[in-house]
Amino acid sequence: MLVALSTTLVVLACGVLGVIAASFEAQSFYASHAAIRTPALFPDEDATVRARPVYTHAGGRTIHVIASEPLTPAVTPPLGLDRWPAPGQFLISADLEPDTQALSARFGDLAGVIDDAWLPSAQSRTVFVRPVHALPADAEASAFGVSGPLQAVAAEASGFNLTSQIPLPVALGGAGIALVLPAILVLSAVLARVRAQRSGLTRTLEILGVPPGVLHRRAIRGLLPPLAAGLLTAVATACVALAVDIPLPLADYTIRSIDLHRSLGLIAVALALGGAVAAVVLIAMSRPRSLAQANRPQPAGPSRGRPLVAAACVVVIVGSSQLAMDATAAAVASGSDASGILWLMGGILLGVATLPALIGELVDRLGHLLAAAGRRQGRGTAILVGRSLVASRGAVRIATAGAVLIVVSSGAATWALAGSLPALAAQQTLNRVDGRFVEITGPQEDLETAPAVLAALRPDIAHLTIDSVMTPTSTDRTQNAVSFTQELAVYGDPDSLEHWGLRAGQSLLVGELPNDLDAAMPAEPEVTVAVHEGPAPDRLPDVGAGAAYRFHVAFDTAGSRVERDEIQRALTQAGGLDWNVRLGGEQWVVGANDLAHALRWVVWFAVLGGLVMLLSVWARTAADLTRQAQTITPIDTLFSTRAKAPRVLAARMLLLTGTATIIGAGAGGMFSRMSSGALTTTAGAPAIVALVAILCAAAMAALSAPLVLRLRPDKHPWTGRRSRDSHRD
Amino acid sequence: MTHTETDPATGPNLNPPRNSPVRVAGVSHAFGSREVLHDVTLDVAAGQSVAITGPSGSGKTTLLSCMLGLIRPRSGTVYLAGVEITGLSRRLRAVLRSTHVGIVFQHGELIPYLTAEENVALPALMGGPNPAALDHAKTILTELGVARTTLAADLSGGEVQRVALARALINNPAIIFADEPTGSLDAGLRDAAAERLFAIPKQRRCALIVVTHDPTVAARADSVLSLRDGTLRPH
Repeated sequence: MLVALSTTLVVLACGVLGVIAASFEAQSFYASHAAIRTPALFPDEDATVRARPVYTHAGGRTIHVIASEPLTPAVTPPLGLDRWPAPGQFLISADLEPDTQALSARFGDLAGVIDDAWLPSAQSRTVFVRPVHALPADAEASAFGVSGPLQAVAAEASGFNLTSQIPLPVALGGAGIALVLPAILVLSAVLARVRAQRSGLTRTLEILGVPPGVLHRRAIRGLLPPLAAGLLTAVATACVALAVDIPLPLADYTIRSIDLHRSLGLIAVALALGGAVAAVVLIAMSRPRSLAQANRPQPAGPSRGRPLVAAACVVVIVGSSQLAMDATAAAVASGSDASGILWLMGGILLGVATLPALIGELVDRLGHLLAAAGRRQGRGTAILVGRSLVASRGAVRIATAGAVLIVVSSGAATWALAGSLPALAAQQTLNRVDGRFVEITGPQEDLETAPAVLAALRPDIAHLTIDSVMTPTSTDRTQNAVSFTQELAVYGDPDSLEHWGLRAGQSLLVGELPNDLDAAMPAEPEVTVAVHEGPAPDRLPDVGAGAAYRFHVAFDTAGSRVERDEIQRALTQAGGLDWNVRLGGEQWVVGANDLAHALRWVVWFAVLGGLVMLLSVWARTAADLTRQAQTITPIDTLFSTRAKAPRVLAARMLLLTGTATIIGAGAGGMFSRMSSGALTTTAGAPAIVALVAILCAAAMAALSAPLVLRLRPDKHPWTGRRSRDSHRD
Repeated sequence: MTHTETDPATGPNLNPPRNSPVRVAGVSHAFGSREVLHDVTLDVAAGQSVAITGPSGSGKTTLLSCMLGLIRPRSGTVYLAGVEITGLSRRLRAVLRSTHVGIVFQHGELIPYLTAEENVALPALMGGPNPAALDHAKTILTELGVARTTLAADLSGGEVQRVALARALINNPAIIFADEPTGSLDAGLRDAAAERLFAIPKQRRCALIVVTHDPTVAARADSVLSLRDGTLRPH
């Protein structure tokens, strides 16, 4: 039963790789059908539509908007629509139905829901709108669905991807580490237990002359039915997913049958890969132990080369985490490179591969120290614990599985919290501002028309104009990074400045701005803000490779809260779709929520992978405790005045959990020390790693406690005949 | 023959005289409806050896378990080192075993990852810290000619039995129980082990009870008893 269940786990874990690939395939399908060609790149092609992506938000998350209109009535509409909506009408993806009211303020009347099959995911947050005002001429393009090189996707949408910068191989690699690897470890642990249970019979048969090959084949044949049952269960589960959409609770993601149908080949390959992996693990783990191994204890003492591998483990963890840290900093600076993640995953894989040697070395030395101390003081418990640590591979396996659990979980938790912590902080900002102002961003290429559009607001709504100018100061060509200095300027009439407690000619730091105006500033607290009286200049300064943009802070001169939808409607009617209105501070929430949403897979993989790894740790712990109990209990039953076996086993587990926690937390800490301006929350990585390590250690202890507590001497025969084989692990 | 009875007011005297290490009186025991022991009586004096023989399933191990205090018989009394044990708590029975009883198992039942010396010292260490135990174990092993630092897993069959015997002697017991002590040895090793085992009662003034199938081993005992149909009779 356990073999069948763990086989199912391995196959389904590999099936998840297929689901990920299918999700990317769905995005590709969407991209090819939402593709347009701009005249700038394809001047010879006739324009048939005007189209441009617009980004807005609702419910604290970004919404991807395709604004488009046909140049001739004969043009086929995109996204499977049978006709173009009328000007001022829009369609939404089904997941946006709760936000219809907010969207209507900006886009007009709702004309329907886009067929899910044409969207990249069930949570794509997509709007297709035909604007009332004609789009500018520079939005002309060849019609939708023109695939080929240099095409532009009308709008990106959220699918299974972590972020738009993480390619499919990286996503597959991450899922492999977080799900498939733990599932393989569980299957290995279960098969190791099966092999241990059969080792007596296998040994006897080999002594009687049955060749090991025959025994191996017989063992495989015995395991084929549960393997087949596991495979069939996994395939049946996949068939359910092919038949119906499966929403994943709390993950804000639905496994769509349409995606799986489009990628049947990928799903089949993934399941076949899972079956092959399970079969390989099964064949490897059913190999009979050699008679020499079965007859005597397996010393975990240092064998030749083992200290070298242990040292290599330390070098791998320190080196690869340093490279990952450097690569991440460079990737954040350049904004396009995922090599940091690759280094991180590669380092974790190598670290996990070499951890057994390091932990074996540590457990071995710890055991020798304890046994020596026990001998000096004449303490039986210390001698038993120390010697059993030295002699048992099970001890090393438990500590290694625990350490891997902590490394993977703490790494994932750090990355996940790097997204969710800013969301919490941003929400606090939003609560602090409490709607006292909105931020308005208009088209940057048309700044001169802004005053006229803003004049459409009702008279008691005033505004400040804010320019953000980032001037390049130096370029590091080797790192492909550019350094900037940022300056902010605030423009407003005397009444507006006075409303905010500002005076013309002031030069303040962002952190010193009064009345929570800093919540509107896209800058660090130490950036300087110059205050000017009067209207802003018609143009922004030319900063070359830098960036300059303008936005406005609108507020009610009576001090009341402002209605975002009302202002959005007024600006859209006066200026068009390109006018974006956010509640004061809302941009931080939207950005942080988008990041947290993108990283939710890391959270889920960490949680699922962690649970699966705990199963593996528990399976190994149960087997180990049983073996140790069989060895110690007969003597304990006869001679101990108070049962010592539970104490010995508890002390053993405590030491193994402690070793796992120290090594796992150390390695996890190394892999989690990413730091850069863009990942400021990872400065809290040590606390996150420590928390994860404590939780994992507590979980390991909690899982093993019942096994130790239920150990009663009279449950084990004093004649202890089974203990003859008990040292085999 | 005198026996020290348990005093309900003060508890048992666990340092009794050594002149009557084992006395079993009218012990009966059954597993479910199957009666394994029926009114078994046995008295073994210090310096005396007794062999108990009988076919498989005759109840030898059950009788041994009753005498060790691992099974509470349905009726009858068991005096171990002069203490009536059937009414004692599990802890006190263990105290009595650890201070007055040595046990030799058929397969030695050594803990494979401990050295010979540590295996021998273990019964003396199970009651609490005892820094002298390892030195004592070293002395006994030297007398028996076994390398003390070898892992039990690396010992030969004969060495395992000698270490098992050394372990039985570590607490200077008033009585030694041996369950098929030569069952896993060849003829040469068997004779040597039996000779060593049966010399102990005279050397140490303790009682020895050996459960065995082997008539050549049983013949070395001062008296041989046969357990059949739950009843103990002279052979």
